[in-house]
Amino acid sequence: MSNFGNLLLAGITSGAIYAVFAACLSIWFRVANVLNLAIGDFAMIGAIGTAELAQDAHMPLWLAILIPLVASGLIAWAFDWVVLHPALDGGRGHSGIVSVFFYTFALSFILEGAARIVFGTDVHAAPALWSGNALSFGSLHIERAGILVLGLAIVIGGLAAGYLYYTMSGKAATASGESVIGSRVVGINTHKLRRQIFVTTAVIAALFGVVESPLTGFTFSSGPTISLIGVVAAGFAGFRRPGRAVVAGLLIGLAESFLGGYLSTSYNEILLYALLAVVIMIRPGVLGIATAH
Amino acid sequence: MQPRTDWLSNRSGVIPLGYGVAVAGVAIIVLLGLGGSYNANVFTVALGYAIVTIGMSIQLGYSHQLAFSQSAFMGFGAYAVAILEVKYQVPTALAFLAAIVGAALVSLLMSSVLTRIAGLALALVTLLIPQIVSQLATFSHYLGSFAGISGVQPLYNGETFQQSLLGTGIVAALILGLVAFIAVRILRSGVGLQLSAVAANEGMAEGMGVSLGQRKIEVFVLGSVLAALGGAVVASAQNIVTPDLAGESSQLTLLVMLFVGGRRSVWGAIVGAVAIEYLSNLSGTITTNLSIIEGVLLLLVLLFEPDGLGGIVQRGWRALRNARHRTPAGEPDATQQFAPVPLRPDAVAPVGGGDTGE
Amino acid sequence: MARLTVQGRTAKGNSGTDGTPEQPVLVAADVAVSYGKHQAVESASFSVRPGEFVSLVGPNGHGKSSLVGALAGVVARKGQVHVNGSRLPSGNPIAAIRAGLVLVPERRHLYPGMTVRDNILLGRYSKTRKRLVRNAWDEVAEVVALFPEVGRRLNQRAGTLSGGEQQMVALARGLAAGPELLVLDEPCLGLSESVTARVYEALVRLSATSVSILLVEENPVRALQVSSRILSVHQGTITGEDRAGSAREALR
Repeated sequence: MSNFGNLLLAGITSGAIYAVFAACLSIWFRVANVLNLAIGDFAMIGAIGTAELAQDAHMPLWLAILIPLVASGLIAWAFDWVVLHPALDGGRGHSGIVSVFFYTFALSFILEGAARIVFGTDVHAAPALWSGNALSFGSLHIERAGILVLGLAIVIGGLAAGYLYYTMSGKAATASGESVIGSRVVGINTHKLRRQIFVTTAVIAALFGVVESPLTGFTFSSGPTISLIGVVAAGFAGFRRPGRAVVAGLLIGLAESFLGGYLSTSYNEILLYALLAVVIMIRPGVLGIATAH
Repeated sequence: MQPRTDWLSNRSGVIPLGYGVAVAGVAIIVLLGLGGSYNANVFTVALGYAIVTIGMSIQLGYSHQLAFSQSAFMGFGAYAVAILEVKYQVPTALAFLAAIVGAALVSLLMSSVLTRIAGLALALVTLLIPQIVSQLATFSHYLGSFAGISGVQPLYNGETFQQSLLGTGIVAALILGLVAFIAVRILRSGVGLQLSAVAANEGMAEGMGVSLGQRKIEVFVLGSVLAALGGAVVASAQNIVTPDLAGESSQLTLLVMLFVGGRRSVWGAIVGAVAIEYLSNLSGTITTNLSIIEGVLLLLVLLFEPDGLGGIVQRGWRALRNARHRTPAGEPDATQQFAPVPLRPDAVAPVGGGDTGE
Repeated sequence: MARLTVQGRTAKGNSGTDGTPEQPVLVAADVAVSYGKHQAVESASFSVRPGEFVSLVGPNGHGKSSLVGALAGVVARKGQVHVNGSRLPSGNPIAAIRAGLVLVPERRHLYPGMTVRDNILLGRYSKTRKRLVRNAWDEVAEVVALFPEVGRRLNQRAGTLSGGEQQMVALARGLAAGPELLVLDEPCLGLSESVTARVYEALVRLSATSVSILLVEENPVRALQVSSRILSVHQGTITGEDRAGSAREALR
């Protein structure tokens, strides 16, 4: 029973991590019809940046967190300015499969390469924001960082839902993804909204990297795996449903935890990926999408 | 503006053959120029990758089939050949044949399910497959765990090391030539036209009488078999196969090769593979910073030259030909402009500029 | 080709009560649109007076949609456009909406996955963009009252409506912005005769209010039935103008 309980807690914690990345991905996809495959790399920048600044440069923790967050935002802003704006708004680039995947895919490459040069290849973890041993409730144990992850996930999820469903700006963001021309004729600046949300989700991902890195640790190449699980979780929610993406993320976390706990610790990732692949193949309808928009 | 039907009928066998011979010929000349050096080995590995990217250009470039499982099939081909040769002492040719047949069967089985799901869903599933295969290889003792399987036989056993190296390269070049021939032959045929139609608009293509399901399965199997063949060549050139070959990062490298070379051109697919593989072995600094270079290259191609290196050369070639035909510059000749689908595989975008957007 | 510059004339006799000539709601001078080397609109000059119902007629592909797109700022242009006396910059739809010119685009371009309510709410986005959703509804509620068939389907997704109903939503969305000049681009494209009649009925109801209307219509007979003035567009130029009355006579 306690084994089950602990697996459940661990599953919810890692599920919350997937959920936040999936939510960030799907919010931006909702606006831009582009998948942010670099979302994991922004988390990596947050985590490793904070670790280096706090531990090697001995900066105060708040500053060590702030600088990578600002850097992530600036990188996202610059990428939008230099690449996404001319590519998606200028009619120069492509729509369809190329824009859905490959611009942010290139960004992921660049961030990964830059991180390797700047940070090296070691495993880093930002200092714990709430240090101490794991909390125990009877036979149940949960890491303090896990509680922070859960709390932050709930706050971010709530804010995102509030923005999308209760503000006109959130409605406009959704409309931008539904019809660009339809949005422009009512005075929605689709480019500005897309950029704002891209920058915001990049900063959120970086912040989340800082909070969760004590649990998982980060290397320069941690990004793509996080992005992949995020994309899959977002995909289960039809890509443009952040609320359902959160649920999908949690379920994936739970599945991973139980597969690892009850079946095989070394094969749990394979089993997880295989399970996801099979679910998509059997029930492509769960994705709620037929083709790229 | 009479459509050039001659491309489809009487000359349809000759041009692809010329293409294949030219590819093999140029590759062999380069190999002989490099001699038995380390670079010859790098070039041979690149030829293996080129076999894979040719398949990808048919899958992704022409047919818009969003499948990202090529590295998994590269791993499949490489491991199949490695196991058969190292553990069971099967002759190389037979091992290759088995790898190809195996890949065909596996991909046929997969495609019967996979090709029914569309667009992004297919992309998602196939993104997961390289992860599964590489992890499986990493954890399986039978497949040699992290270290992989070493001792894969070269494609040609010469008396000296240099002879084997060069011989392997020449055999790889011949295989690549054959693959290029087959690819161009397919793209120039009626099937090629149908694929372009499917890429432009699936529903409309089906309405025009294209058997959609069958074409999708064929494309998936072809791409997977070529990936397995390429993987087997790479393993033979490197004499070793490791789980990395099947994994995600290998898949990413393949995509960069395809896009930098030009995703709608057989020629471009080859050049992209050779260029990226050459870059990654050029010097220590470049190898360390490879992902930045690849990322920037990819962005430059996407923003400025959607058809990659192949597109640049194509435009130069067209300008040259126009000058020869004394067509005024800037005015594309009518056959080019109105050709409904690319009659020459490396020439024009599919109907509607390729990607169908809003 | 002759370039005919047409001055606006008041057709409805809707001039100001104080007797001074009213300022036109729209003045377009030498508007030109080109896509690369292709000149879609050569040089169009015309004006629309308050309360007028003006139709732009002409065959497909002769630049009507490009012209109104240029007026609304969704297509880049050359030449001057003034709405209610203020000059509109090129390629800026927000400025056009603020000045009072609202476009209902060809093929509607609704947000198919969103509810009818959200579609109409977003019509007023230019004035409510900093608000919460629940504080934004009151101002568009009266627009919905004009379209009873839309009002019954507020919680349905726009993409699930029939073509005619979607066109009504598009009209409501356009009106929600509170326009002085509503520009409609081919509102009846692809609609059946009976649905077209309903859409036109709604337009006639609208023209009775203070809103001026600029309608792009391929079918001149339909346009004649409702508008006060017709401008014909041919090969990117405005080639003629007619008071609807005399044209109606000629048609008989």
